Amino acid sequence: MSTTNPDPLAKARHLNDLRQRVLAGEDIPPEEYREIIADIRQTRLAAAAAPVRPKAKPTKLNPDTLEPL
Amino acid sequence: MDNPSSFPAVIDSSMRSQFVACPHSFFRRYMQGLQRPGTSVHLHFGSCFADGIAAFRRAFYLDRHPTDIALGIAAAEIIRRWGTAEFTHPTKSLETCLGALEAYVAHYPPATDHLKPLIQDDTIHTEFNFGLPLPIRHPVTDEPLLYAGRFDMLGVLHGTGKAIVDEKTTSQLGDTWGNQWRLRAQFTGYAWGAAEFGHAVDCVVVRGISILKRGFGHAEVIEQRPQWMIAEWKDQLLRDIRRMIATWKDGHWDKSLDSACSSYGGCTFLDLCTSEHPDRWMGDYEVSHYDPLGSVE
Repeated sequence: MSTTNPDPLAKARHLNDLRQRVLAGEDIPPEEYREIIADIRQTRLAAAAAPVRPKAKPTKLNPDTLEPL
Repeated sequence: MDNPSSFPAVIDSSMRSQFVACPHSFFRRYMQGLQRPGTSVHLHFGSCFADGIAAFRRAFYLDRHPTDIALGIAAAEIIRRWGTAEFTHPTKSLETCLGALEAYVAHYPPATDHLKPLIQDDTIHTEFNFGLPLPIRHPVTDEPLLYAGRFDMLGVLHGTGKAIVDEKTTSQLGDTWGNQWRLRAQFTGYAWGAAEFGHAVDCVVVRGISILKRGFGHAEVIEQRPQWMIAEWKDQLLRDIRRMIATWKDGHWDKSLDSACSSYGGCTFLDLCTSEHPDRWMGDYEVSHYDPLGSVE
């Protein structure tokens, strides 16, 4: 299964569009809901596969000169 | 302060909890019906998630759809239930509600989940609701007071024992998250309610789902509710309700003036209690009487 992160803006637009159609009473094909879930799964898997960047340690400064120690 | 002429006909765990924490906040919320206008993002998110999981379980376990089709059915339910609600919460949104559903099912794949819904005679015991009479009469109508509860699922753990199952969405699952359920009256009341319907349970399973900026976390705790604990809870409940009625008759609703005023980000009625003239702040609240047997929101 691919773990490419889908475009988050496009995904948000797709979801919002789907919600508006649901609220308007449109009969939505079941595949569309499954596509939304597939996108969400792909995002989760991509996030899980992404390397975690180590947090930068704060640099200790000389309190008088404010230069790094 | 006007003491309402009526008294609630139905009591639930939230009402008892609020009365015990601060009788005055109980008076404001459940006697006067006051609450801040608008929908709580936390309640709405939790309620939509619970409906989604229930829809998933019906579709998978009862209608025997494959996981992906059941997830699609559950997603439709969440989107429909979310409706027009708009929030600006940093992590709780329609998208993360769907994400929490998908992540939950990935974490607890239903085919191998050690916790499954109880199904008897083609009835799946999800969204278990009850309202049971108590041996205390309503001070006005003289009808028995009712105790109400609603939990996510009556389940079967490891294929043998029955269990109360409740999912909790939260902002984080810290080291102490699991400790808060050990004595939680809400669950003891559920165990009593289930037993009254012929389902004596062995334990309570609480599944936590944390909604984080970069994903979702999961935790599961299993707590016992032996018979002595249920009996003690019921005795305490009846004592507390008698005190509610006595307070209502007396008309003086004591204030906690302590940690209950600041817990969970501050009591919603803090503006009233910190004012010499609370009536001037009443416009900041709306009247919406709570119905424990109705919607959870």
